[in-house]
Amino acid sequence: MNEEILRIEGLKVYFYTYAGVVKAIEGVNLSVRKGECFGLVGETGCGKSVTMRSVIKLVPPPGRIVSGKIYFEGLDVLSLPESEVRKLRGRKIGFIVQEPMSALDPLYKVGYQAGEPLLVHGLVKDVKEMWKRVVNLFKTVMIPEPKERSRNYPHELSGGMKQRVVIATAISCVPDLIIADEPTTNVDVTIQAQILDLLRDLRRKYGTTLILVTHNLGIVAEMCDRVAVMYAGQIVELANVYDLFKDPLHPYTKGLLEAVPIITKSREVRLKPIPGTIPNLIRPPPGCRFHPRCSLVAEICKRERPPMVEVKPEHYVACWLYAKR
Amino acid sequence: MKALIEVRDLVKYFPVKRLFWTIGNVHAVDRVSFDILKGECFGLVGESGCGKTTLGRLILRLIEPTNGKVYFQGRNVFELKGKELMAFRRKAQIVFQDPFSSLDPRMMIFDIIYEPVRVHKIDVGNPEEYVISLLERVGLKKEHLYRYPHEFSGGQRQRIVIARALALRPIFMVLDEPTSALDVSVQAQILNMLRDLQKDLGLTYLFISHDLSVVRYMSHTIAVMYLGKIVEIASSEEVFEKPLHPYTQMLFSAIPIPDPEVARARLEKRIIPKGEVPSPINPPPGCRFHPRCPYAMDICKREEPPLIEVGEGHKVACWLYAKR
Repeated sequence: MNEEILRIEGLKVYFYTYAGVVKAIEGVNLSVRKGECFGLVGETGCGKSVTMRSVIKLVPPPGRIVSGKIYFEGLDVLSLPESEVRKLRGRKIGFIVQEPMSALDPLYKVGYQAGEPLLVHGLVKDVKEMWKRVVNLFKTVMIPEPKERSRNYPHELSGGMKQRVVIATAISCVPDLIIADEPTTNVDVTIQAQILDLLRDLRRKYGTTLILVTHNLGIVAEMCDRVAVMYAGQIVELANVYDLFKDPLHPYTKGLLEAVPIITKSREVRLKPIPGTIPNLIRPPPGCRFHPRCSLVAEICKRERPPMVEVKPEHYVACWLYAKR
Repeated sequence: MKALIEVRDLVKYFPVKRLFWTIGNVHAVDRVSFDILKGECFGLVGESGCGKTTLGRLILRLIEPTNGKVYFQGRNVFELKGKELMAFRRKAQIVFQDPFSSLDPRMMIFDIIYEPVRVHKIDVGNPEEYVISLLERVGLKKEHLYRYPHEFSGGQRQRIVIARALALRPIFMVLDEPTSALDVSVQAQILNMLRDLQKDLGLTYLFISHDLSVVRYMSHTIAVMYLGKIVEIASSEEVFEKPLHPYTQMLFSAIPIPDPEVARARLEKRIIPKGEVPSPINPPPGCRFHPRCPYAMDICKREEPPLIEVGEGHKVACWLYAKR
C-alpha cells in the first residue's frame, strides 16, 4: 500500500503572458501511493489543474515547466522524449478532464472518441474490435443503451452522459493512475452522486490509483484517503483525510473549512469568510503567500517562505506557526 | 407575518418551434402557487432546467406568463401599467448569477450604479455622495468610483451588482445564484453581506440556487422544484430535518458533507439517484418524478399529486402523503 506511484519534486510552472510572468506553481512536492485516492483541493487559480497537467506534460501554452522532477512508476517523465510520454498518456495515466463539453470533439461519434486510446496504443487489432470493446466500456460506466449511445455525437448527449463518456475514455486502457480534474463541476448534485459512485466502483474493480482534483471539500471528505491543500501555487498542508478535517493546522485550511456552508449546520452558525482575495501571481506576496489574508500573521511570514514540516506523523504543514525559525 | 408576494397558479410554457410549426412546449413553470412573507428569505432549490430562474423572472415580470397571477403588495403585477409599473420596477430588483456579464464593460462604476437612479428620477441629493454611500454599504471604497468593471475580481463585481440593485431602495430582491460563480472563501463574504443587508434594510429575498447548503444557510422557507413543479415547501429546519418528498430526500442524501466520518456514514445509507431529469418538453404524466422515484406506485403514473399541507407550513406533493 505504501508503494509510490507518482512523485513530484520542486515543480515550478510559469506562464509567460504579456502582462508578466505568472508564477502559477512555485515549488510543489508531493508523492502519491499506489492504490490510494489522493485529493488535491484549492480554489480557482491555485494551480491544482496545472500541477496535474504537468504530470502528463500537457501544460497549455504560454505555460512552461521551469524546473522540477516528476517520477511516474520510477520513470522521469519530464526528461522523456515526447514519443515516450505519449505511451503513458491514456495507457498508463488516464485523465478525466474538467469540461466534458469542450473535451469531446463534436465531429466524431462519442464511441469512437472513447475507443481511440485502444487503437492508438495497439490494444485492439482493428476498428471493429474497438467498437465491441467500446460497448462494454459504456456498460462499465453505466450508460444506458450502450450500443445506441456509442453511435451518438456529443451534442446528442446530456452533460452527465458526456462526463461518463470522458470517464470511459480515461479508463479504456485500464490505466494504473487516473487523474480526475473536477469531474463533477458542471453537473447537478444527483448526477454528481452517480459519477462519484462510479469512480468508487472503478477503483474497487481495478484497484486504480485516483487523484481527485476539486474545490469541493465535501467530495474530498467522501472520497479521499489523503489530501493536499493548495494555495496560490503552493501546497500548504498535506495529511490523512480524517486528520485534516478534524485537526486542520494551516490557517488557510481552517479558514476554508469555516467558510463553507454545511447543510447539517443550523443557519444561526455564522460563516467566517477569509478576508481579501486570491493574490495576483505575477507579483505574489513575498514570504508566505497567504500572509496578507492571515489573521495570525507574524513578521517572519512577510519575509520568508515557511518550510513544509511534519507536525504529526504523516501530517505536513507549511506555516511559521509550526516551523522552527 | 403578511405575505408580500402571492404567486397563484403561475404557468409558463415556451413553445418549441421547428420551421413554422410548434412541435411542443417546454413546461418551464407549471401551475405553481406559494407566498413569500414580508422580511423573509424564500429559498428556491432545484437542479438545472427545473424552472427556478424562469419563476424568478416571472415574479419580476421580466417575462410574461402563459397563465396565472403574481400579487405584489396585493396588486397583480401583470396588470400594472405606467406609473404603477415603474413603482414596481423600483421596489423589486434582481441580482444575476454571472457578475462578468451583468456589468457593461464600457461604463464606470459610478455610472453603473447611478443609472437606475437617473432612469427613475429619484432625488438622492448629491449623486457622488449617494453612490459612495452605496459602495461603502457593500464593502467597497470611494476610490473605486471611477474605475471600470474589468479592474475588479468576481466577488467585487458581485458587490457592485448588489450596490446597483440597492440604489433604488427596493423592498424585494430576487437573488439568482448570486454566488455560484465565486470561490468558497469569497462566497462566504457575499452571503454574510446579503444576510446583513436583509436584516438592516428589512428586505425580502427570493434566493434561487442549485446549492442546497447555500440555500440552507440563507433561507427561512425553502421550496424544492422539480421539472416546473414545486414538490415540497417548508421552513428551512423542517425541510432538512424531515424531508418528505422522495425527490427532496434523494437530493439531500446526494450532498457530500465536508466531514469524513459523517460523509462515509451517509454513504452507506445513500439512495443513489436513478436516471436523469427527463426532458421538460412533454414531461412524464402523473407525478413528474415517478420514473426516478424508488416508491413509485400505480397512481403516480396516472395522476398528478396535489400540493397538500401535512404539518404546520409544510406542504408536499406526493401520493405517499395525499389521500387518494
